[in-house]
Amino acid sequence: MSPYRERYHKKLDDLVNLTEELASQVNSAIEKASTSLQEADVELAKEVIKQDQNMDDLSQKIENLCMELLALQQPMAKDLRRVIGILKIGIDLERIGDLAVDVARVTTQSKDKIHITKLEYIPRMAEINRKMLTQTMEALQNGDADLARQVTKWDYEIDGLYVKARDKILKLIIEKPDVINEATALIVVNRHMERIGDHICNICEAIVYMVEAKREHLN
Amino acid sequence: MVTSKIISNNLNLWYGEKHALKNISMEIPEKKITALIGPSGCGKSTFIRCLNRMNDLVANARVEGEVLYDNTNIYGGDVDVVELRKKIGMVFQKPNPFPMSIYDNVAYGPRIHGMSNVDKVVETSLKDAALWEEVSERLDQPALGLSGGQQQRLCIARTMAMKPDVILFDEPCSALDPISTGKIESLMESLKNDYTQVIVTHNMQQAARVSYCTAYFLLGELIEVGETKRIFENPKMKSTEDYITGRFG
Repeated sequence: MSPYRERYHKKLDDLVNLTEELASQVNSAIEKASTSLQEADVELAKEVIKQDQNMDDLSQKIENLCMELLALQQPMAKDLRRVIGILKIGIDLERIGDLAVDVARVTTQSKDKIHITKLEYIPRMAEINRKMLTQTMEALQNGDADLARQVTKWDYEIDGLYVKARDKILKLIIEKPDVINEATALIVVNRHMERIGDHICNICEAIVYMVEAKREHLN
Repeated sequence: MVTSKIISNNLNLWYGEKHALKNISMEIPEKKITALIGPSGCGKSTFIRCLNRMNDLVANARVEGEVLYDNTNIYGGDVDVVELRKKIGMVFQKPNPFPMSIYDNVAYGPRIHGMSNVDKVVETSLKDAALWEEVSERLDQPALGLSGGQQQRLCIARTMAMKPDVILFDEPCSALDPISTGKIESLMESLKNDYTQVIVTHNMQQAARVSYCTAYFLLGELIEVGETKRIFENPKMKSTEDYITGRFG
């Protein structure tokens, strides 16, 4: 194989490595954002907000490499699916990062005022999201479409937790109308956690496409 | 509904002892562009030359199997080969205009076949080959004075003057720059509603751009054939995938 093709294949591998790096940062941002909210830890929340630039830069780097490969190498077949898949995954990861940063901003703005009720659902959703993301990256690394499909099953649990959390907060608003501002912020945070699960499902769909060239709606 | 213009059934070809085509069975869709791809020596040019019996001109070539053109086996005993090549024309890798004027190059075939209104045929053919505007004022000039890209379009005009059904292109752009290549590809696009076209190309991007259907050949065998979009997005055979992604060899 020519050195040009070897460099091309290395860049295709780089795409996966960069995506895993971004996913790892995003995973840590979810954890820190959830913990900062739970413990009203403004410093930890600021760390997440600071981390946003790194995640954006990494996402841009992935997009640039995809563009370079499309323009200079004209990838075909599984290589083409990999580039297109990673391009989509990069966008979803960047959006998850933004949602985590938004949660961290709520911490900096509300501190412990948001603790109008026990935050039992948010940490649980964050934990499931992180587990899903870890397994999703495993599926990407190993080209395992079945694992990607399995991961999306967890999203039902997240959706269920979100509905419970929302109903609980709505009930609280009716009982104590003066907590409306904090309650609304809390609903937004719960919604963000639920949306993160949806983005992970999108990533799983991209992996199934990359591996099997099938377009499946998994959530 | 896509119908087949040419059908190859268990086609085999030997050059002396060398088995160059092995049981090739495939259909060429009517009024579509079919691309043949594969590494050098895989048999794609040999196959395209079987479609209008150009291999008859190779002394030690032997063919078995059949090629149906409009349901008639062109290797049957009563086929008029000259008439066949009139209906199935060919454009070669290197432009090969005759050493005569632009006009005479296009008029050569119609004159030999006694066609009437040759002036009109020449004009229409040059227009259809997107060359008329560039040469209409100098039809009496030598064809060899044209650029490579113009010469290739002249050869296409010369083929079209015979009013063929099918045009076979054997690497028509390999000696051309990107601008001339673009003109040939535009020309193929403009012809696709009226002609069945088959192109042999080493340029996979060209195959992906211009064709409706792609066939991948390797070592004299047809490995895979299908809609171009599928072949380049999700080939079924690992060998096809290895070739089009550059992992072959």
